[in-house]
Amino acid sequence: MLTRYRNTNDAPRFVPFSLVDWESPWRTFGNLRHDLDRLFGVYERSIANPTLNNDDRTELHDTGNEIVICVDLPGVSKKDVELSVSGENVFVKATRSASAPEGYTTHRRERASYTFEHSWRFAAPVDTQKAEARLQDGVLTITLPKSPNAQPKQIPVKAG
Amino acid sequence: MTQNIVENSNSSRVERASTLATLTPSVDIYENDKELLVVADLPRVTHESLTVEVNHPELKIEGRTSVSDKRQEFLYTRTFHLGASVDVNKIEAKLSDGVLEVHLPKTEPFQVRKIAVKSA
Repeated sequence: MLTRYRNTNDAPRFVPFSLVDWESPWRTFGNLRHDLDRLFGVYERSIANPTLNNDDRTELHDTGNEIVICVDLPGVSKKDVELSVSGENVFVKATRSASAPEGYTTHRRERASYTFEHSWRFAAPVDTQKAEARLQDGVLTITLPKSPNAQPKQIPVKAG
Repeated sequence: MTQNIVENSNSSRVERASTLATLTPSVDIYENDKELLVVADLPRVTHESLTVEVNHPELKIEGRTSVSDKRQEFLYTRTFHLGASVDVNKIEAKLSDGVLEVHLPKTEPFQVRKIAVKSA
C-alpha cells in the first residue's frame, strides 16, 4: 500500500537495505525463511513426511580435482550415517532420533527427529577408492576425488 | 515453572545489526526436579568458537560457524532470561556432534524435595 505524506518529515524513514548484507541480498531471505520454517514448524511437518531434502543443509563444491559435499547433520552419530559411492552416483542417508530425556518435562521442543536422504549424480565418475567421509561438529563432509580422466588438465600449446 | 527460563527476544534483535548473518538455532528446553536443560542444534560450530555466557539474568548462547570449510559464515545466537531459581555458579555446558547441552541446576530452595512424614 502506498501512502502519500504532505510533509516529508511525516513519512517514516526508509533506510534502504539496512538489514541486507550487500554481499548477497538473498541471504536475508534465506535467514528469514529459516526463521519462518522454525516458527511454523517445518520440522514438525516433517514428522508426517520424515524425509527432509533440505537445500539449506547441503553445500557442494567443485575444487577442480575433487567434489566436496557438506551436509549439516546436528545430533547424528557415525553409526546413523549410511553412505555409498559408485561411479558417478553418491547416496547419503542419515537419521537422528531426538527424544526428550527421561525424567524431564518438556517446555519447548523445536529440535525434531529427522531423516536426511539425498543422492547426487555427477557428470563424471569419482574415484571411489579415494573417497573419504568425515563427521565432525555435526557436519558430514564427503570428499570425492574425480577419476583421473575427469580432472582438469593444462594442455601446453606448442608453437607451430 | 516456565518462568524459570524465558526467551529474551529483544536482545536477539540487536544481534541482527552485526555484520555477520545470524541464525536462530533450534532449541529444546526441559526441566526436572533438579535442573533446567537447554539443548541447541549448532552444526558447524566448534568448541573454540562457541560462547555460553551468563550475565544474570541473561543466558546467551553464541556460536560462530567454522571458517575452515569454504562455506558462508554464520553467527548462531539466542538469548534467554533466567529466573531466580537457577544457580548461576553451577551451570555446565557440553558440545558434541553439533549439539549443545546447557545444564542449569536450580538453587536448593527451588529443588523439589520429598519430606518424610513421621508418624506421631
